[in-house]
Amino acid sequence: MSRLRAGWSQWVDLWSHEEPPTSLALLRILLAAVMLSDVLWLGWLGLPPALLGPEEIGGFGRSAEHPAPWLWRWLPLHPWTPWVLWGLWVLSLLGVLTGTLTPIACVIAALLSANLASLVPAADRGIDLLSRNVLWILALSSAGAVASVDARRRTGRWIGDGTAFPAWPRHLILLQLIVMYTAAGVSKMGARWLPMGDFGALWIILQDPAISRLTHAPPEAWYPLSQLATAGTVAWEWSTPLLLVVLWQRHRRPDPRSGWGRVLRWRPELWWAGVGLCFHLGIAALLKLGIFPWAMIALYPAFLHPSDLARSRLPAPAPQVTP
Amino acid sequence: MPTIPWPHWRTLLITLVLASHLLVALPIKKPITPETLDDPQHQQEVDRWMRLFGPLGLTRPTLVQGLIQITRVLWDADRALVEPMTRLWRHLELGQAWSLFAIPTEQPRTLEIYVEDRAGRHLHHRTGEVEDPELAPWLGYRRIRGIYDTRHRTSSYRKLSEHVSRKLMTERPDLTAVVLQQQQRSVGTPGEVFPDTTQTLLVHRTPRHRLWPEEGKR
Repeated sequence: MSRLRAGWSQWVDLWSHEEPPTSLALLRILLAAVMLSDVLWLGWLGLPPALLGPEEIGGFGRSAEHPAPWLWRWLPLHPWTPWVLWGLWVLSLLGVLTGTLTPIACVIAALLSANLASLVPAADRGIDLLSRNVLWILALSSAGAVASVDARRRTGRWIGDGTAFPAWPRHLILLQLIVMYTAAGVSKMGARWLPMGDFGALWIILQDPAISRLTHAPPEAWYPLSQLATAGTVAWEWSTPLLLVVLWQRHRRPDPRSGWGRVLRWRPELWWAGVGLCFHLGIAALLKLGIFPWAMIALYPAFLHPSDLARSRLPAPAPQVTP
Repeated sequence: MPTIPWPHWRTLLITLVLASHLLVALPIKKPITPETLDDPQHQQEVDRWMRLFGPLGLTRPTLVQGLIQITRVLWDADRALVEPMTRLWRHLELGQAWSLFAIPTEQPRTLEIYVEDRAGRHLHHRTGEVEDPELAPWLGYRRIRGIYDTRHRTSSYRKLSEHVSRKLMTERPDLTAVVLQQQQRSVGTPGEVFPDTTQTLLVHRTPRHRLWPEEGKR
């Protein structure tokens, strides 16, 4: 019983830690910038009526009568309504970007993204789902307390006053990334990702005209490189759960002279994130997946403890060694 | 009765949210059935797994039966555990469905648009080869690609096809119909022999009179 109680205390301690929300603010700004560019592009292409409106007013998706797009129960079926929703989406993302009424802006942006997902499920991609999950976490966080209009109003300084806030939102986003990469790794059971399929997965993907940036089949000399990249991708994704061990050990603050102390000094989580960064830049260079690689990279500040940003112009927090 | 401090309540809430999302993240989203395995690509997939299990004494029917049974059990567990959670998150469109190219398609498809006039049918757009400069950025947008880069004929695919047809026929009154279709071909790794599965799929033809019925009556 006492061990259970001690375990629960450690668990509560993990989620009660506080830090200045500088990493979260950076993540908020990067994610909002990526999402805003996507929503502006959607508008430039003239797609709001097709993707944000029900079929009664020219939408490609479900009818307003369908129970899923619940927002449309209260909205007038007018051709301009999708454009109004688009404008509201742009404004809410501007709010997230600039940190203006941040929690409200995050909730509105998440709900408008959910509206599109309910209306045209095929037009809602995995990265949109991930962005919504993160927007809800940001809405409950203090991501708007640094580098924001909210900070200016609250403290008189654009960059805030360095006050510490609960760190659990950053930890939750880290866990979100770990769950996503682990699930992606576990589901890569297609033999093409494995030795039985000759590690041919990326070679096959590069020949898909719907997503490949290559206009012709890749030169055969690239094949060994693509095999190496395939094996590396799978190994990297399968190694994701090890991050949990690393982050837990960091939370326990081992003696710097112990084995874990020496390992943690090398910042394995940042090396892992560095590989992820290369992976996503590779995707951006070779595949046409829209905002996917950029939105993923936008979430990587979650790997940074605010002390990692101490040399920046943001307020320097007290150095701590937690995940 | 002692009051429970806020950090404990907060941790409890976080734990519940985490638990529900971890359950939703379970990767089995549908069971493998004998019909699923009729697909040539899935047959090849089983062939490749037999390279690993064959030398260990496992026969092909045993592997197939095992796959069907295991995924059925996981699917039932998934439905029992995850469905209640999914109901909770559905309205907000939250979830944890990640696969990221679980099985790369070996029969990729290319979008083609043909236009018809009095002289016959002509190729107007083929992704990556002959592209309509105005339509290409529109069709290349990731959300629109999600609608046409599909294995099944959906109502969204039909609406997209009619939208493209309306646009082309408005610009060119001489057109009598527009056809949206997918050209499927097989791809493989260097030196690999693979079946030729070239075929045209998801053909959707929109004649002018369907969009402007009153023109046909005149």
